[in-house]
Amino acid sequence: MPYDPALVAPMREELTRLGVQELLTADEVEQWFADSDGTSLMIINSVCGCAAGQARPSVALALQHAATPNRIATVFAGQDLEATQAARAHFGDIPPSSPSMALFKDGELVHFLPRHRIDSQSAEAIASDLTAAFDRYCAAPSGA
Amino acid sequence: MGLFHDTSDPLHGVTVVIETTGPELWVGRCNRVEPDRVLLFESDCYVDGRTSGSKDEWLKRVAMVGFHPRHPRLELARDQVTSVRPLLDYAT
Repeated sequence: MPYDPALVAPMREELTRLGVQELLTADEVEQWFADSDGTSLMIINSVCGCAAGQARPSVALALQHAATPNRIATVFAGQDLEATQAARAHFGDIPPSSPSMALFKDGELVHFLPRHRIDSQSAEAIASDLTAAFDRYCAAPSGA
Repeated sequence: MGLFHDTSDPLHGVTVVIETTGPELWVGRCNRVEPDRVLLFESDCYVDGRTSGSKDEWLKRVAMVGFHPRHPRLELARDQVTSVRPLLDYAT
């Protein structure tokens, strides 16, 4: 059962104020995935303070890195159910977890950060995992 | 900012691997470890001799991408539990 929207609003804003695009419907998710050029990060947000309480600050830290994805979007698990289901349909056979983050390059899933690599980690450690993936997949080729 | 819960258990909210005295190996989100029980939310289980593939292969994949939460809530008697460790410890 979704939580009170007033309770969840600050958790949404913690990402949207960073410039992360919030997708509320399955149609919005499909439109976002339809543009598959370049690199894209999909964040599955969650109310769980144990894990998401560190995940959202980790995104803020990671977005200060030199290399970042071209596009970043989020859906809210347990709140925007159809949008979350639509996003997870693009994760192949990876089991659902929230919070989690999926990095795509040219439409291909290249890096996935499941909940268990978030829930016992500091925001700095999660950000380090993310930025390592950004360096690998989002950095401009040397000499470009 | 987040929704916090009614326990200060250090493993609360952490995805853990639970080894047992039986053939079952559980993976799930720990709610709390108490003197007489361990409470998990959203767990999955490897059963030696029943689940396909080896336990190490199953655990390796779970540590890489996660698991399907087939059991919404599970209580394990503490005397059946031989270890409780974060799943992250199994990731390489």
